[in-house]
Amino acid sequence: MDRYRLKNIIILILSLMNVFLLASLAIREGARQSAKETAVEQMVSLFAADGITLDPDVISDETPPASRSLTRSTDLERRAATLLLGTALSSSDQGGGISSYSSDRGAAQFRSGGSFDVSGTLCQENPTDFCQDFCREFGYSKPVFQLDTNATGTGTAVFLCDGLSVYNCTLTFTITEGVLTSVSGTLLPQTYTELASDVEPLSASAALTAFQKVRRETSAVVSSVTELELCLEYQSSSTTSMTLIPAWCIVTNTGEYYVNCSTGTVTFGGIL
Amino acid sequence: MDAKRRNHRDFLQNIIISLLSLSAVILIAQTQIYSLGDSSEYFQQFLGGDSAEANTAVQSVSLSSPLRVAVSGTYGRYGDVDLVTSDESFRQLGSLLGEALGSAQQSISCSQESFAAALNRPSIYYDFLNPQPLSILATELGAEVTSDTFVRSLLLSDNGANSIQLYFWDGADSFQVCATALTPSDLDALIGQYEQGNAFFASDRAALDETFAALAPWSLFLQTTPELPVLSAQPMQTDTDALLTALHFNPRTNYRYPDSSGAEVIVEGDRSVHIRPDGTVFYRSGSEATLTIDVADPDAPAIAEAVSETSALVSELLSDTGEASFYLESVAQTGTSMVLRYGYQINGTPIRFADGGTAVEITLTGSVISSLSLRLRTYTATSELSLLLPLPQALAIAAQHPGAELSIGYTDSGASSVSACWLSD
Repeated sequence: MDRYRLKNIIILILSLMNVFLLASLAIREGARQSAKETAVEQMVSLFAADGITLDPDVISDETPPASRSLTRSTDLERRAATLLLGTALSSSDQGGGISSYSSDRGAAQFRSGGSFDVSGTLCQENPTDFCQDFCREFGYSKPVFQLDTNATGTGTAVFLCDGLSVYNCTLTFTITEGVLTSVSGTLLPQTYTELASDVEPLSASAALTAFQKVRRETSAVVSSVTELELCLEYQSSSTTSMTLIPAWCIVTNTGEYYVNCSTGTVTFGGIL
Repeated sequence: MDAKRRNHRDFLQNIIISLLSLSAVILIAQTQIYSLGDSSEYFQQFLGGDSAEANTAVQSVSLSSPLRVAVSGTYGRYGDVDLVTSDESFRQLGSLLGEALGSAQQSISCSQESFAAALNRPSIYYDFLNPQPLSILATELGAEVTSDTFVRSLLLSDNGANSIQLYFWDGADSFQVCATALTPSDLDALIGQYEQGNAFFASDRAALDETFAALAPWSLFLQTTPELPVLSAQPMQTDTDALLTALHFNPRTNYRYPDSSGAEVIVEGDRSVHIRPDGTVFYRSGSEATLTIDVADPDAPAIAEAVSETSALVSELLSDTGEASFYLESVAQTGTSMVLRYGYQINGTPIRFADGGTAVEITLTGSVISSLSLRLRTYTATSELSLLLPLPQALAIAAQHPGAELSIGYTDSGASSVSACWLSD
């Protein structure tokens, strides 16, 4: 048999092998998709049995990110204090992780867990623009304000880490008659270290199951689940550094619930 | 021309065969990855073996302590009598106390009446059950305190002058107070998170009830007596060789024999260890400093260093305590000797031994562990609940010992079942 024919036979065999392997992978992928669709249908049925409408499209395929460790940054705190209180600052370390700054505009206190409180006459012109600039500078979402006709009220923003909102890390701006008089909340650095974990984070389906279990135990009234998205939960203990843990945010018609991806703990975030 | 065409055709065939072979290899690999699941784990095992190497060095452990907390506000008190400093529910309470300790100014003596008055203002009371070195408590709370003062309880109280004071009580008759950098709003924000009215001190009812008046004033009670499970207790299943290795004995020694009590005795030079069938272990050092702790000053180790090193050893020795864990009960220093006692606790409730002994007692002479005793026990909670005496009856019994503190704990008499009961100290 000449070389030409032999090579043609080899090419034919290899082609058939490739077709077979591709078909095998396609069948497996199809089975995986089918299993996933079945799981989604079962989840929707499970919720429907309790009178809760669950949109199957909200059940995400996303894998939660790894937990993140943050380290307190005194430079960040000084920058925030400078922006709010001006450059003529005096600072002191009061011990226990409490740092204070003051100027003729007011005073600020920063603590080791990231919480801070600044009060005084912080901005007298266009305070809402000032607050937006502050949020942009320090990685927060655009603040949402509720002001009355006297330009008095509050604004809130949430910290964002790589586009994911940290639901329990917020800023509150207080404006009194057009003057920004206080800013308080949690100030976190934007750099972090990813933490390795042996525990696989909860998937969206597992988070919904955990939520359903707690909802039954607490007899919480819910009739529909409208959104399910990844977010982060901020934790700071007395003995560990600041940590961001991935969580699922389950938006229902009666409020938001947060499911910790590491522990499965369900927290009620409040009425919408 | 034919030769040129043949060469061209050959070249094309070779290219096609190479591409198809490469494609087949990739698809086979993809199929295998699919079958094996997590590819990263597979390749890790394939390339480097088990990446989790056994760490033979003893690592320092984070200690956690059981405590009782009373949060006092305008409408009453909230109490928790089975907290542990590592609990998630203690996180905010611990953070505030850590900040108070870290920002504490110079302390001055104060009276018991001042302490009692502070408890009746908006306050948070932390009772660590036994006098502890303040430096050790501070470390658990994330604060840095170098003082080796012993404290049993700490109290954060609003003094009404726009500042929060920190009170210390040593468990006997010494009270101290100091200013902190905390503000009343910090305390109020935390107090407001607790539903008040579920707890009271004995002193709160002393004026109305003689039995409460006879007790230690800061015995903390809950309106509803907690339900604690009966524990299943048994001698710890321990690897004798690992135990001997941890105590720096040669596990293959031939110098071992049973004594008349059934205990296995292992001797090495003038050192010995007795291992009893009930899980009790006694170690005696010899003239050579074989089992030591690593400290900066071997002649006079600092308490913090001694606790850190011995707790690491205890963690290695108590390998399977079941659902219980160990905690530092007490430290006593006399000259160059230091005696450290560790006890068992389960979900914040201490487990005592009926004979007054403790889980682990380590005697240090300088940096040398001159003696060590262990009670190797494993505890697991059962579904059965402990039957506690009704509070009035417990009060009547405790009132026969004026000044006694009444609390709930477990008492292990060596049986296989351990129930919670009222303890009078």
